[in-house]
Amino acid sequence: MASRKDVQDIMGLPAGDNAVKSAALRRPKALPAQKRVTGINREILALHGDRAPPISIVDSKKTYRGKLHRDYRPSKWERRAFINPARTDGLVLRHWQQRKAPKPTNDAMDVDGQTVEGQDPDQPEESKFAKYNVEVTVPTYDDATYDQYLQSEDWSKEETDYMLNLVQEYNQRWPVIIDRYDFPKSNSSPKRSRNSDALARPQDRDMDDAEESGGRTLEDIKARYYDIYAKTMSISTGGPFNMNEAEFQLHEMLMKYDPETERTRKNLAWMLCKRPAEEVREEEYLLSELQRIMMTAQRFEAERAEVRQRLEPVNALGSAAGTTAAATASSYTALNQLYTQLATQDRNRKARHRLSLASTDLANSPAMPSAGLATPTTATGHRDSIGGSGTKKGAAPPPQPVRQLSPRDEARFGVTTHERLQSGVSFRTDKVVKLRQAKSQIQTQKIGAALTELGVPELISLPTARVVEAFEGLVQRVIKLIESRKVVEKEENEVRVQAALHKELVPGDKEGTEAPEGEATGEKEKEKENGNKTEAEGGMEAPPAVGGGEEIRPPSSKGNAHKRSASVLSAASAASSKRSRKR
Amino acid sequence: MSTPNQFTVPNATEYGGDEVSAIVLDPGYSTTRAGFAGEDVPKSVVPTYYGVLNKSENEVELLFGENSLHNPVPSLEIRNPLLSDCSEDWVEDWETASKLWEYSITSRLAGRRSTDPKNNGLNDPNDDAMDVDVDAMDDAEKALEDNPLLMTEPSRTSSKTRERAIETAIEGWGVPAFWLGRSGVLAAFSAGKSNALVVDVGASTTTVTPVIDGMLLKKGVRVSPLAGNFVSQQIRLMFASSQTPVSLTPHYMVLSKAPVEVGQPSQAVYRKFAKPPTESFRRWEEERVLTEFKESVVQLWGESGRLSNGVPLSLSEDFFKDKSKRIFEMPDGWNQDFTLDSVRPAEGLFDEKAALVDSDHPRPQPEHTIPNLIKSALGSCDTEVRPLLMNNVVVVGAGSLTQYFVKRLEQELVAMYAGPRVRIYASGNTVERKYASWIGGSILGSLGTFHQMWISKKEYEEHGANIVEKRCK
Repeated sequence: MASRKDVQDIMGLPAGDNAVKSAALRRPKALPAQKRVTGINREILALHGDRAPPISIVDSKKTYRGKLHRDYRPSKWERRAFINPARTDGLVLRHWQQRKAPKPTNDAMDVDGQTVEGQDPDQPEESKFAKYNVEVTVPTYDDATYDQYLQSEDWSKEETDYMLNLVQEYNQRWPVIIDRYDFPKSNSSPKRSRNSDALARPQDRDMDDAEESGGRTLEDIKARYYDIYAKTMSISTGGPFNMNEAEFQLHEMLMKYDPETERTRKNLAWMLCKRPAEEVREEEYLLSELQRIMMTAQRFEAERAEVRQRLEPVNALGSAAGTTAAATASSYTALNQLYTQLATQDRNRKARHRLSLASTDLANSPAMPSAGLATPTTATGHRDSIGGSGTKKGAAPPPQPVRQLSPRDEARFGVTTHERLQSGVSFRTDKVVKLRQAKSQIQTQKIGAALTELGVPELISLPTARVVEAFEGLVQRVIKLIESRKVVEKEENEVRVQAALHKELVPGDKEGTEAPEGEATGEKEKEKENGNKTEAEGGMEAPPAVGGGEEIRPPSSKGNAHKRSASVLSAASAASSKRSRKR
Repeated sequence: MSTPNQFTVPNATEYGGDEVSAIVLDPGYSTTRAGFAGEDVPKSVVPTYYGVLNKSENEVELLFGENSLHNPVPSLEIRNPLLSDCSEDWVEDWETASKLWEYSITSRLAGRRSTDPKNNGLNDPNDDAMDVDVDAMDDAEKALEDNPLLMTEPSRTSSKTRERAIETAIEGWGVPAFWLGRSGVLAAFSAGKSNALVVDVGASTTTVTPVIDGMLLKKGVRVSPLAGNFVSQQIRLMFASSQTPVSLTPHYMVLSKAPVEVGQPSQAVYRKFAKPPTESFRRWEEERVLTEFKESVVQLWGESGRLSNGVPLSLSEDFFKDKSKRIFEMPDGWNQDFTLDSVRPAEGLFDEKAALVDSDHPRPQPEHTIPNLIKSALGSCDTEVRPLLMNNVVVVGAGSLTQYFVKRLEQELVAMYAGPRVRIYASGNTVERKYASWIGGSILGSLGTFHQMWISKKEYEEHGANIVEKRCK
């Protein structure tokens, strides 16, 4: 704020005396050597330094205050008379209003209202609140109409009129109408008994309002009123067929009013209101429980839907793969795609599971196996593989099961129990591939050939727990079969060798009898030689080759001594048979 | 000029107000409130008690107003023109009551109008003194000629009483327009509600008034004598029945006092009167002390367990341990720390079994306790509005200012009706609680839409006093 002195200073004008005088508000910087500011400690003032103080310092000794200056003129008000058109008696009231236009005479401002009213040339203005005066319309009828259409056994015409007046007077506020309903009853005895019969009131109702209002209940009054309303409406419009949509709807609604239903409804509502606190608490508890169950069911359903959705394309693929070999080949890409898709879904699901694990309700829900347990299974059972290939399905239940499920339920919810779980995650597809692989290439090929012969596809499209289990059993049996086939082949070879030997030896009988002995002894010697090495194997050596001369000895028996597989043995036996054949 | 001040006009459409300088008169048993409609608080609050001073054999002077009622003058009787019981007649002495009410208005609000100097008679020559007197008498008769009057009445009054009220106002005071409102309904308005269950704990009566759409449900009104004066009576009984009876000495009796230890007898010097003031005066002054006691000591038992069922003393001691001490000193210096005794006097409002009794004051009836009043009031309303009423319980009246009253009431209501949500509206402002029905009248009387409701003098003359029954429904 530049004071006048500042301006003068800038313009190089001499500072006038009056400028100094007029400055009630003083900044130390503005007038350093001039007048001392009073009313404030010198030390505090010094703290300000050259800066302007944050509050204006006013000299408290200066009591003179300038006249309040307004840049507008106060408006003129008058106590003006007005009437309310909603009134019939023309009561004139007066309120203070801003004067509209300058009046020619000052007498209008006279305090005495009577004279203002009398002398005022123009009429008192009308209240703007009169427009809020609205009334309800109630049905009207003349005597003839009443006699023709509106007769009622229960209601006399007088009482009907009284009722309609009351409805209009209280603007259809039914609680107030029933409160004020007081029609003197003359022939009420049959009605009263009817009402008391019809009303199954709660025992503890303190006041019998029906008795007080001349035997009428609110429902009776409403029923009568709606009946009259509907009938007069029907008469005035000329039957329900001539009504427009809104009228017809209203008519329908009025006709449908049933006092008994209303009564029952109200009683029920009140019973609900006056329940003891325990019931209310129980209901609250049950409601929350219900809500929780619904939420769980919803989540469960969503998970099921997800699984179903996941199965859909696989089935289509599987059926395609089963039909043609070409389709199988082409489906690899599709399967790859599916795999990645599943992997992402699984990731999402895992994240969600982590979330849902946090919520306690999941743990308590009866429909879901407890997520807090060590079992990694879920309702969908899709995470069975978490246990890896070592998991045992259907093993003995853990010592303290949280909830005993019947085998059927276990199967339904995919609950499995495991004695021991391997850490980490493995896919069943991996397990399937591992099962197919034997230690030797030939064996693997043989298993593959056997499976192909059985019609088992190379890639099992849906390796569920049960499928894998079945596949494992199948592979084991296949292996057993191959082994036994090998043994059979070997035996057959031996038999053939022995037969050939026999043929050769039959002409020279001596040789033929000695040879087996020699061989037998040779065999024994050989066993003695290798005894130390083979003992560790626990007699797992291949069945001893029958027949063959001394020179017949398994060439790789030492090197392959640790090999137990049938293929080795069969190879050895094949070699021996070859040699024997050569001979 | 952005912030509103006394010069700015509130926009009339903002609040629908249109003031016509109406006067609101709210006569209660303890105080009579009067003021202009549209204001926040009544300008004039005078005690409804009045003094009758026998000046000489035939000359009796009536004294109104707080200032003239506390002088220990011999032969000053203190009376109340209203009936203290719950009858529909309300007013016992109409003549004095109308004078008292007129005093409450004219003493502060609308005094005798100053007439124009031209014809007020003062400047006239003395030749026509006769006319001046007549004019003056006319003026005196029509003290309220300028202002419409909105008067309140208890929720249950007979039609005779109501007709008497409009007669008094229009014929006696010459008001141009009149309206009679139920105090319960107006109290609901003061809380800003048109649907409410109003619990009004006054001086002589406790009233429960169901209000629907701004209208009273007559059949639901319940009145009981268990109110402020009942609590005072309970305190008297408690003092009388304590081990060392407490002497209730009003202020005017004490000339000087010396401080004494807690519970020690007082060492006061009493005033000697040649002719002692009347019994009614003494009682009136005692009530003053009791009011002080009620305001500063009495509280309600807000914990679980009923006092009448013998709340264990340990529990009650726990209850009072963390509360601030309630020490009360009588005018004569005797003082005491009130613990359990502070909850006993008011307990009778809620539990008749806990009320103190003696031969003159029998046990109150169980249906007069506040929870039973509410239960009974709700029972006689339509089923459909009961949850609505429970949701809008408005607590007013100076008696409800007793500490923990609202808490206790809520406990009782929730225990009674667990189903509907019970919500209690009790203003934290003591003035709004004490003068609720006046404030409601002030709101109503200043509404623009209310203008059509007034009963004008013309209508009264046409239809007679019975019009009040038709119009003030």
